[in-house]
Amino acid sequence: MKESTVMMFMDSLWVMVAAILVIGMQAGFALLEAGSTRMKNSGHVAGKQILSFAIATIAFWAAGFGITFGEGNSFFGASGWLMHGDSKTFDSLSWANVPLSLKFLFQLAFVGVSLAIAWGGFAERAKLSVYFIFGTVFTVLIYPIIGHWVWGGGWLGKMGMQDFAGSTVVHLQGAIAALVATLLLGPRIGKFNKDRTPNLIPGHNQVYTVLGGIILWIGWFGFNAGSTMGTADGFFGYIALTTNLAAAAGAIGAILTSKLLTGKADIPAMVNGVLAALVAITAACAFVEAWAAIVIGAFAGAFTFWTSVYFERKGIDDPIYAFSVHGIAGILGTISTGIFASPRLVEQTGVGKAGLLYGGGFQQLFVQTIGVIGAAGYVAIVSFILLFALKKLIGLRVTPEQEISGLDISEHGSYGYPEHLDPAITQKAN
Amino acid sequence: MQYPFDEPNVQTSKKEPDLQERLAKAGSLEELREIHMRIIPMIQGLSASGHSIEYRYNMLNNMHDVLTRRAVSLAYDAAKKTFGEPPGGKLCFFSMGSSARHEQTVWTDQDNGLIYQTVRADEVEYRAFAEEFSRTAVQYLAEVGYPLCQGNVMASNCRWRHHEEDWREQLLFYLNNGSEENLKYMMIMLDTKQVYGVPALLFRLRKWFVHELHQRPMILKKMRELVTSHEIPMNMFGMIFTERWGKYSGRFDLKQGVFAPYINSIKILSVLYGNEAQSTRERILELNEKGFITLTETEQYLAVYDFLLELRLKHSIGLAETDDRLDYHLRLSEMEPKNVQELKRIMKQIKAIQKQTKKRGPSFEQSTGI
Repeated sequence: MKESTVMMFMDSLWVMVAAILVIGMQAGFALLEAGSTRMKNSGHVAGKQILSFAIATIAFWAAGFGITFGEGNSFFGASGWLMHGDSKTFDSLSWANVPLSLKFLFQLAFVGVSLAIAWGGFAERAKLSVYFIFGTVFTVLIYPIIGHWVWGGGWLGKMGMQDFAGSTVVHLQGAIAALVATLLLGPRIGKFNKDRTPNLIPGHNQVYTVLGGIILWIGWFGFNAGSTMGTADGFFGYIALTTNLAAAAGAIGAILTSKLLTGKADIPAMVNGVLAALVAITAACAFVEAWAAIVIGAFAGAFTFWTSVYFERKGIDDPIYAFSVHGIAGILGTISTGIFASPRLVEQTGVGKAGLLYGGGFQQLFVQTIGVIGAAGYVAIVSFILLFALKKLIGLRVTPEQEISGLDISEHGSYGYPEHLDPAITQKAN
Repeated sequence: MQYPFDEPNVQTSKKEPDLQERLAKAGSLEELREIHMRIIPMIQGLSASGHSIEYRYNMLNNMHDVLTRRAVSLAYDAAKKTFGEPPGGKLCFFSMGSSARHEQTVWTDQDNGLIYQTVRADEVEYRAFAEEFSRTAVQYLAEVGYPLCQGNVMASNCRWRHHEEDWREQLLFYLNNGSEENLKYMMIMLDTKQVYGVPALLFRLRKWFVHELHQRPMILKKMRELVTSHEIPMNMFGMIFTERWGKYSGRFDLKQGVFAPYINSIKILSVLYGNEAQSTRERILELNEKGFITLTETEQYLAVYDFLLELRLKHSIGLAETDDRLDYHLRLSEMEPKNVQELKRIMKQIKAIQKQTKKRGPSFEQSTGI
């Protein structure tokens, strides 16, 4: 067997495994979000994860993949609809030595994650119909544009923006959409008092939240290390190392910050700290040294705990802190390479320049900042226009009665925990 | 049956002669309520004329004592009217908590109980009378301006209203079942003060209870652990924790954060050494007199106490125009920076006092569990 054939086999296998790991993160989000929300919405919150991935799959196959990676201009791809095209059509992905179907599957997994993040801002009060419409538009008109700018041969990629696995492309996008949604939807009933002081609406199952966090942590090995889409030089191992170090530092940073700021070592805060650290290292995992990964992870974990408290005090009801964990950490992670990108790793990846700390000047920091502002601005504008229009046309939010009775029963007709919430079922069973 | 009505020695300010006279003549709940509402100007006058915090609290609490006693006396008369002359028996309506420790602020909720003694044959009838009297007393106190206790520590609750023998049975149950809840009930029962009726009933019960408590070193040890395990809400860098959620979000809970842990530390020290004083100030002084704490410590303990009292009183006066007069949550951002710094210093001292309390008292090494 030729060496090139063996390499293609190895790379393909690796990308397949990575894609499965990242798609498996949907299970992590289902557990994380369901555990972090109330029992009366648990079936809805978990179940919509399947709906979300299903919508993303069809829409990304039909149009999103072409707009992201298809041949086009600096702003969007204009070919590759329904994945059709010749070798030139998806030239932006030609660096990966695997079949197009696997490239699609792997990239689809990323869209699925980005969309899952966006739903955090909709949790416990949005209509099911909004998920269909916004999910489709996000997959076709929002995510692919930023994806194209950075990874599909667009203007940010040409400037040398360093976003190895998507702190901006995947996480910041989802988080900005979540923020716009949560602002337009307004807080959940009972979240704030008349004087705007916040109330605690605890998640119904912390064990689910923790399990969700662990599944996401594992999935991130596919997310970051899998983004090499190749095995030849074993570089994916190094990326797995920086990813893991950051996550560990994020857990410790968050739980210590929680203890220092509130007196209690909050478990959901620790889980969010892990995720914030993973989000932050997603851009930087291939560009920074191991020690820097620890710094980035610890800072992201600690800082996003503070921002989650801050935004809540400012009257923003972000039920699972999606904007802090994915948005703030996404910004931190993207900017961090402008400071910490190491010359040897920049040379190895061949993207951008070394960071400020290594004498690279402000050039890379500037590019990273422009990337963050550009991406966040575009997502915010398009998400706002779409959601505002939906609000006016069909309404984003379920009725107060439906919200109070819970989305499980009002949108789906059955409870996630029937024995707990519907005494009649227990009586009948007895 | 008539009980002597002992008028406390109310020392009023020269600026408020009118209030004392009106209090002495007050014969209705409306009048008592009106006098209650006039406490604030009296205290403000005392503050303006430079009276010490100890003096102001004495004045304030003497006023509360008279108001409470008058209201309960009216309730007794009303219950007598309903039931006719009460059958043979004795009772004692008593207060607990800050009232018993003589450290009530302007606004304070009720914490009270009832003990009674009867000839066995009359028990059922007298129990009904005691219940009616307690219910009326609690209602009258609420009308005068003492809101109902949210924890239902009131004589109208049968948990806090018993025949003398039943009280002993109840306390024995607590003593022999040292759950956290029972420890808390016992901590409450360590602060009691007669309000109306026969003081001897309460005195005997308290004497017996403290004696029984000292027969159970493990319970005393658990009480000390309960008190000293309360975390003072401040981190190692001196940052004060505020409430994260709820209507007091962003504010500091003065009562649960520092006042209660401090008061309870002093209380448990006092009990551990077998002292009998009831007010926090007297407890500190008694600890010093008997040589359990040094003079320097005494001065430190009193300084902490006075600072907390001052903070509580100022805050309490500021609540006059609100609907939430029992609130003890401070907006640190609205306090003067020097007062916040002082609060932090005091909180560090309370942490140290808690640590000292953990080490003080009799050794429990040889004790057996209950």
